[in-house]
Amino acid sequence: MNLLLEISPVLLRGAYTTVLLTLVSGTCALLVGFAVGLARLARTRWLSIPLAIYIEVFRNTSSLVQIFYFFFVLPLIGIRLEAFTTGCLVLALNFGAYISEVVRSAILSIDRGQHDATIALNMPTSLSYRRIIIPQAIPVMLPAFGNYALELLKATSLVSLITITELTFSGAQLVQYYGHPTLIYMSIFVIYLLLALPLVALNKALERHSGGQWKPKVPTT
Amino acid sequence: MDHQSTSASQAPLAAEFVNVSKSFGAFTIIDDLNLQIRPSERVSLIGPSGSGKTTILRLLMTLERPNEGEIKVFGDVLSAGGEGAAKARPDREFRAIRGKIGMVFQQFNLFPHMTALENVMEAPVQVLGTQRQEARDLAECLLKRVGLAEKGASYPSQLSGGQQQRVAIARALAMKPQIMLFDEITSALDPEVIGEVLEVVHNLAHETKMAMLVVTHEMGFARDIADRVIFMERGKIVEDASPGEIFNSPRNDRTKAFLNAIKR
Amino acid sequence: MNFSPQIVAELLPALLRGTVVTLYATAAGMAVALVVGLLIAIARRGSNPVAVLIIDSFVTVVRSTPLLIQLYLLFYVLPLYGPSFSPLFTGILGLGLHYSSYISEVFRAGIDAVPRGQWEACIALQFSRVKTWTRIVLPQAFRIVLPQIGNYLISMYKHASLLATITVVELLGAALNFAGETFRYFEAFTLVGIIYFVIGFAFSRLVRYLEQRTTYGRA
Repeated sequence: MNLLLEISPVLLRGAYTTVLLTLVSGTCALLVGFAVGLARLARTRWLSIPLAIYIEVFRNTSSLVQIFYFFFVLPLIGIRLEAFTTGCLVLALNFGAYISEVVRSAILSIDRGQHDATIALNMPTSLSYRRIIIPQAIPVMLPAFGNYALELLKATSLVSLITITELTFSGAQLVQYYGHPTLIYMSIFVIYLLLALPLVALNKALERHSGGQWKPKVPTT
Repeated sequence: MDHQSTSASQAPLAAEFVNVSKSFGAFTIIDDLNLQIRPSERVSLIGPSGSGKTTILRLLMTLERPNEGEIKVFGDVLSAGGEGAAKARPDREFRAIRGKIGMVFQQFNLFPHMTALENVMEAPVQVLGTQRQEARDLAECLLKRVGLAEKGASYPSQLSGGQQQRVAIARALAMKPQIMLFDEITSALDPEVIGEVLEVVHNLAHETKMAMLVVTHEMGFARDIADRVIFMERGKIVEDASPGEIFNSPRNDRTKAFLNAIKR
Repeated sequence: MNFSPQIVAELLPALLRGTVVTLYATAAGMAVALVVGLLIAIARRGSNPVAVLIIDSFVTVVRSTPLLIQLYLLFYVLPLYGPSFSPLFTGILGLGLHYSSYISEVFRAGIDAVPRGQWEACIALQFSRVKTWTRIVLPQAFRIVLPQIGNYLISMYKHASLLATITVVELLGAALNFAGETFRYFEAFTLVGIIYFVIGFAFSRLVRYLEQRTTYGRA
């Protein structure tokens, strides 16, 4: 029990880094995913092939290999990034590839008549997407986003292998220093679980409300 | 092209189809069609399903592009197929022309994430740059006009089909189009609410000077609203005459056959 | 930077051996996941609420914690209290258990998708419980869930690279060993990336084909 008290500051700092990694790379992944998903829908010719390659490469190779590749190979070609930045970058690109497909298919699922109506109201495409199509597509995307958020939280453990002192790496270091693998690894396991449970609950709620149907807000007037 | 200058010097047609063809794959929907709509004219398009009536409206609204021919609105080329398609207009010019047209759809296509009032306000505010308060006043006025003054705060999912369609009419009117297209606007409605929607359109026809193109299966309505009725079959105009002529003494045998089949 | 063909020639045999290990671990891990996942899905339909709660909690806990930590627990902690397995066996067990939590949900949805009338027909025909499951329900459910299991197979194939962290010399492990000795990180990781991509891409096209075939088949 004394040991637990002694190591808890390190574990908490690790947990904080894990949360930070999840938030930063999650936000970036959303930005990447929306940008790529929308760009693919726009069918710009010079972009479509590079983007398709990006998506296929990141979806068909192991995320751990991607992390190592960026960590070991980028410096060889003169790009030196901090480990934390590298970790965020790879996670954002990896999850961004998946999210772009979610964005794309959600937008494609919106009824053709909605597009027709925006044309009949003489809206330019950008306005149509911003005000009409995307607001309806977001509820369709949310359940998938929730699942990816949980997967991302778990995936941050991989960057422990490139020396980022998040939760898993902190634990591995503590085990090296103090021994007691049972106590330390179980603590970490439980901390991950505690971090994940809000997301699990959120996902359950999203699934209940899903089906992609737009539910009206309660009218205010 | 000096087409524009000559047609502009005369009173320009509201809409004109010049040798327009449209096909989907091997299936020809519109076959070398010529059609002229004068300003303020009320035209009903009737005919069996698949005859191309709806496609005419969708072409005019630029929801579809022609494979061949030209479509002009008030003398300006709106869209063109074949060689003309290559030299597309700059977006701003194109939208200035398209803005003269409005459309009401069979499936209403209201924006489900906006209230009735927001549906009507959206395009004036976002497309025309109208002040919010002004757009709100206009929207309230239009909702009142279609008999839905108290439903402004309702979402489409909280309205009946007839009410949704009337909101859709108000939404299209808010853009002050000079040509209004009605695409089978009662086909998705329960029989008991068809009357309320038709009444709104009937009143519009009397109160405004918009040109109207109406595709409908309601023959009474087609006759009541129009100064001109066009009977179509297989992508071609078979008969184009006054409502009296078409419904009382159709000249073409196919028109007769169609009207007899409908009556039965 | 130069990509040395000589290095590639030295490296390739080790990587191919690693690829075999990766594929073996994936196949064996999926076998574990299918068996455990199916048992969970069937047990969840039982009427004992305590058992259902325990099973649900197991699924949630396994699903919401990182595979890496689960592998550490199996590899570093479990042997302190009981059996000690080879790294590869531990890895297969870890992969299998982790993915059983996903696969059980897939099976659950698949079983739910079998029309109620099929169960009622089995009762009407006096089928035993076992016969109902094995002859009628599961064959239909399997067909429904096959593409999704394919997707998880791809996912597991990529996730198998984590076995490198518990000293299994699979594809990534082979590259790490080689690069650690020779410092040829560029060649090693590029080749690993290519191998992952080629197999992963082929897998994913196959699954997409399966998906399309099943959706058309049902229409």
